[in-house]
Amino acid sequence: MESRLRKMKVQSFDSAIISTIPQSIIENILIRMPIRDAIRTSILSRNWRSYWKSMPKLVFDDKSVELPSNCKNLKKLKLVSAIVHVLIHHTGSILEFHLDVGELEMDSEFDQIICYLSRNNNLKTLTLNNSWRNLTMVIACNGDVVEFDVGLGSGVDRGYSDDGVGSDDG
Amino acid sequence: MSSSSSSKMIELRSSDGETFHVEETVVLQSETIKQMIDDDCANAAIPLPNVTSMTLAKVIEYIKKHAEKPKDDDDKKVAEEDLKKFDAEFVKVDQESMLFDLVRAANYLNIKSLLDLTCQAVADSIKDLSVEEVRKKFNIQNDFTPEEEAKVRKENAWAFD
Repeated sequence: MESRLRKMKVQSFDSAIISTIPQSIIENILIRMPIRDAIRTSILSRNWRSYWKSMPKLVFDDKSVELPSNCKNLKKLKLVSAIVHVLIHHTGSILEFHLDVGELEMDSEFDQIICYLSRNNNLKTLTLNNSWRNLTMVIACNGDVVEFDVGLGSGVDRGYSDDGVGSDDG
Repeated sequence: MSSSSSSKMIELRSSDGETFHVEETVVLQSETIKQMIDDDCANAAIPLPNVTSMTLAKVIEYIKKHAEKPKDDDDKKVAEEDLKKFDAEFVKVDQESMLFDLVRAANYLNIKSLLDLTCQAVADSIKDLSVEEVRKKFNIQNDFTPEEEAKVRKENAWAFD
């Protein structure tokens, strides 16, 4: 009984602590987990319902949606609708946006996402990685983007090539 | 840790009145304290009303370790590995509340690397848990009605299937 009481005391102490965490720190925590997990925190309580909507950094990749890897078209549709869902409901400033679609074949969807993001004056870093398409043509939309990386080639770990950005454009 | 230079000592006072003496070069990792020193407000003990002595002791342990300078390049690699190990151990705290105390202290003292480290530790501790487990861990009261909860699930369906 005594230990139960002690446990209760500890728990309410914890509760007091988490409720005094500033929103900026909660956002800082949310950006450090996969976006799917961050959005799942919306179900925790009324307070938590909207924290994800002001995350300053959004990271998507082909693992953000759960589907077997052989369902490529379905996966693409799901990933695009997930990104659109996040962008539509997001209410804060997006400072960073990272998207790695791997082997998924994205074309007009890609352009639309980038054009949507280009209207965001606060965006500082935009990273796109796609194994099969050079994205040079859509860069023109991004007058305000300070840093822009386009990943080319299939090597996921080979980093980003910024040579491709200018050379194919000219 | 040895220090050959006779760095000026700065006195910090925790919320519960305990004082700590830390070398100025070490304590400069805190942007908040650096600002105070720059503004010449650090001649007496610096009061830190938001940080308990227990948390402050941990923070000082962290900044002292991170202030150690490797002597050469070989030493640098070893030191980096050592620091990684230190960081991993540092966030293994017995009580979740201690981790949050450190997050808040890092935020208040504006020590970016410590804030990054502790926020990452909290994120890692949450991400593989079920919603119920997270609620339990942080004692978050579920104040949704069943209808509201269903609505939130539907709203963000892609993250829940």
